Amino acid sequence: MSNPTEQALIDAARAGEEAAFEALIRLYEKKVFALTRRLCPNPDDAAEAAQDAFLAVWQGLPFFRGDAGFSTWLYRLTTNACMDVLRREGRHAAGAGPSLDDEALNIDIPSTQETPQQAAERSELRRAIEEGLQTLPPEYRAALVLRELHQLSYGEIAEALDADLGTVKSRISRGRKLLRKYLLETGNFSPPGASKETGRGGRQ
Amino acid sequence: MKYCEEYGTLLDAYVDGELSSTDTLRVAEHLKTCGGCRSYVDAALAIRAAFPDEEDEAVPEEFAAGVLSAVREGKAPRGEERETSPVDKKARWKKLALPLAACLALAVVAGQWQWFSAKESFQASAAMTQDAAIPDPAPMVPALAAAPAGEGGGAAETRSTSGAADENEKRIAGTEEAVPEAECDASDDGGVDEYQYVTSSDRAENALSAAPVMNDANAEKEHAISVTLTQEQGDVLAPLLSDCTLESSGEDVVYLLTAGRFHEILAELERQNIPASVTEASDGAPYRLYIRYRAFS
Repeated sequence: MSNPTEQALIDAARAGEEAAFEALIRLYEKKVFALTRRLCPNPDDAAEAAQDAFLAVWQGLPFFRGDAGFSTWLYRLTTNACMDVLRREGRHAAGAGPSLDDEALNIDIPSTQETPQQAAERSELRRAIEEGLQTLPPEYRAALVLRELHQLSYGEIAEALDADLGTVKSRISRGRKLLRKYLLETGNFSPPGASKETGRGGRQ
Repeated sequence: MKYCEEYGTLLDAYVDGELSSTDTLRVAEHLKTCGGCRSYVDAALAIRAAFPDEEDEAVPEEFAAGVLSAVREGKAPRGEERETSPVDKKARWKKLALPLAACLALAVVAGQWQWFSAKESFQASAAMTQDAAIPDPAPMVPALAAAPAGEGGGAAETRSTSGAADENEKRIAGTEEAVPEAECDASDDGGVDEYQYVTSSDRAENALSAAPVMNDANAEKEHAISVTLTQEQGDVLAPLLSDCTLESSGEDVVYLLTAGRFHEILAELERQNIPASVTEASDGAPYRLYIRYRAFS
């Protein structure tokens, strides 16, 4: 659920305060782009979908009941905006895979306590994960990104994708297994048990 | 080393903290002795550790300002700024529903899954073949009548082109229920106009809930594959879908396809001996794939 500051911004934006809405946008724009860039591989489409999502927020806020969390609602609008954009484009996707040279995918990870070599390994794995995500069916990709990047619970993902809990569970499980398979096959995972990555554990 | 079948379905929920405490303990205990499952969990955690981070997203500096100026330009009008009240769904419906063809098309498609899930015997390809063998001279939806009659024969197991009228009848039987809730998003409305009639919450509800979603007045004029898959069967199709346009990600997954991909998927389904319902339309019509996954155990 929203924290007090965020709730105040939501209330003010609902009442029509543009400054509060701008603050809300800044609070969530990275998360929204993180989703649109992975669902709309074309950068222009991703930006358009991000804008549409926030416009839908502005428009829908007076009716936002808050029984779902704001972020879950936002991601739902974002997912819808992506599909609307792709549909509007009539994007016939054959061969329209993401360009791996896209700036969005060319990620430079700031290293804090990692050694340069660890940082390089992680960066390499991250790049492979981005590639692997693009080999997944989009509905698996959306569920996995919402889980791992946005750190939503299964219940929240179910709301964001308007799918039931069993479906979400299955998409995450299948998506992760396919991603793992991709990483193993492309040599981005060491043989089971020998991975140096494993000691690092989860992020939360 | 492979993870065990028994625990394979629990491992993801374990990693995601979605298990009951009893099951969490059970899995934790199992991991002590099972290298295969442990390596799966390790891999999942390694993926998590290296997963792309929102902090890496470069957002254009002027993005927020751009959204605000779009708001000021009236691209997301609220309440009284609308032509119709956002809650006045009837008025909206009436306005958009006028082109009967559009709505019939929508209802036909909206009803499709009702038929689809109701008709379990659909799975029996023998029954399907039998249906297909009965020629029906008067299909209810013209576009389907336009499907090339000769082409269906070669792959009778999965094609039901001449059985389409039967199918349509059943689809139309779902019309009454489907119409009031269905979004009739006439595609000739420009992107901006769309906001004048449809609230964002409507958009959210409709874009994902009423599956399959159609926004095309010529909805019946499409090439469509409808198929129910197990997750494993879905995985077989996965490589063919990764670069396709997802149109709905609710319970019913809808993809817009190219003609080439449409036929590749059809071929793959035939190769896997997976029964599917196929409708064909004239050249230039869009190609779609409708997937419903079987419940996950």
